[in-house]
Amino acid sequence: MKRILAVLAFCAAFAFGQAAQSTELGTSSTTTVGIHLPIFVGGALGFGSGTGVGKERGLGLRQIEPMIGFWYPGVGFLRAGYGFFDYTEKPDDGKNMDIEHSDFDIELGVHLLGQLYLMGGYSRSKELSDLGDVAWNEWAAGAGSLLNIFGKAMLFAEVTYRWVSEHYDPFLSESVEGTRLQFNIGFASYIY
Amino acid sequence: MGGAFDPVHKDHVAVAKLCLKRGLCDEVWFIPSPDRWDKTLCASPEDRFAMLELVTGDDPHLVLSDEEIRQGDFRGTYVFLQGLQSKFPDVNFRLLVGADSYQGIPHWRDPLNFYGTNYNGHLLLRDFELIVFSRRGYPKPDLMVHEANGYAPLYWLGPENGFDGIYSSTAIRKALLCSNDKPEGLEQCVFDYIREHDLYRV
Repeated sequence: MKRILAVLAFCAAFAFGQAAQSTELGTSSTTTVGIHLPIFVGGALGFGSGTGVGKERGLGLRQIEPMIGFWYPGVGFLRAGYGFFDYTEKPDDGKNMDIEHSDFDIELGVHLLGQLYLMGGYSRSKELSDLGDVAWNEWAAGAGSLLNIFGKAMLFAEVTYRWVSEHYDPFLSESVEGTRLQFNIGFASYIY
Repeated sequence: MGGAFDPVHKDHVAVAKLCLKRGLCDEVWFIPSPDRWDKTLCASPEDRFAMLELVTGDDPHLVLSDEEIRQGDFRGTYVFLQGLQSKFPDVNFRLLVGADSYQGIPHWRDPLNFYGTNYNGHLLLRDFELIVFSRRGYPKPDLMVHEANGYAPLYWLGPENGFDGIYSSTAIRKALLCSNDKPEGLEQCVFDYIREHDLYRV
């Protein structure tokens, strides 16, 4: 957990440390400016409600994820992220179990109206514990919007609907399959 | 009893005979695995099978099976046991494993699904009864936790039951590599076979 936060802190500092330079890809003061390459680094936090959120259905943290990719202002993006975090869960009548959660995501987005975009994505999720390791796939579709700050950096917010593929949940002792609504907030900064 | 048996040693046979003696099973099937994607095996399946033939002898309760070798590819223990159960629906199979392997079962992968990145160890624990035998340096499974986790029953064979596993195939292979003497834990007939076929020299 500390490691992840350190990475996020580093990315945030990097993002806010960028100074606006010459406008190349950006076109006005309301969009990102001073970009030579559409490559960005960033990070996101995801909160979900539905299948795959801890032991119970409900609101919960789903994702802490540094990411990297291409984001062409006003056109679209392709980004990949990998994140992990630990938490503790107590199975019925069992002892507490430490769970290592990880996600690998690939996401594609297309801007529709300025800062608004539609997106879709694929996730490979894993939860490793001494009760039993599990891995499954998730597919996502949703929309988001961004807010440019400091020339080369931006904040974004997204809502996605996710389809969670069937997998056996050792904590629930049953196969799990379903959908989840997930809200992501994050930041991104162009590196050059 | 599944495994690599690379090579088979005295503890393999001793634990099998103890299982029979204590009534934990009616027969012990030795089922050597084919070559595996997750582990480099030193002897061929044919050699490992031949060494097992030497130690199981004429005991009708020690059954040697080439079911998994004949499969050709390694499908993981859970999938293999499921296949075995389908083929022999009247037999209640119990998996005989060491305490070292038991610790790793929740993390066992399914080689057949999603490029081997899916897991099915917890399904094995749920669906198949285990007989776990002691291995020096590895803890006894917590039977209460095992049961509370919803797994199938587990039977323990430890020093209190007359078994304390001290030999390992890995250590025997190292000894064979470094010396011409017969390593402790290896039956003479198996040692002779190894020398005759020049195994475990690299």
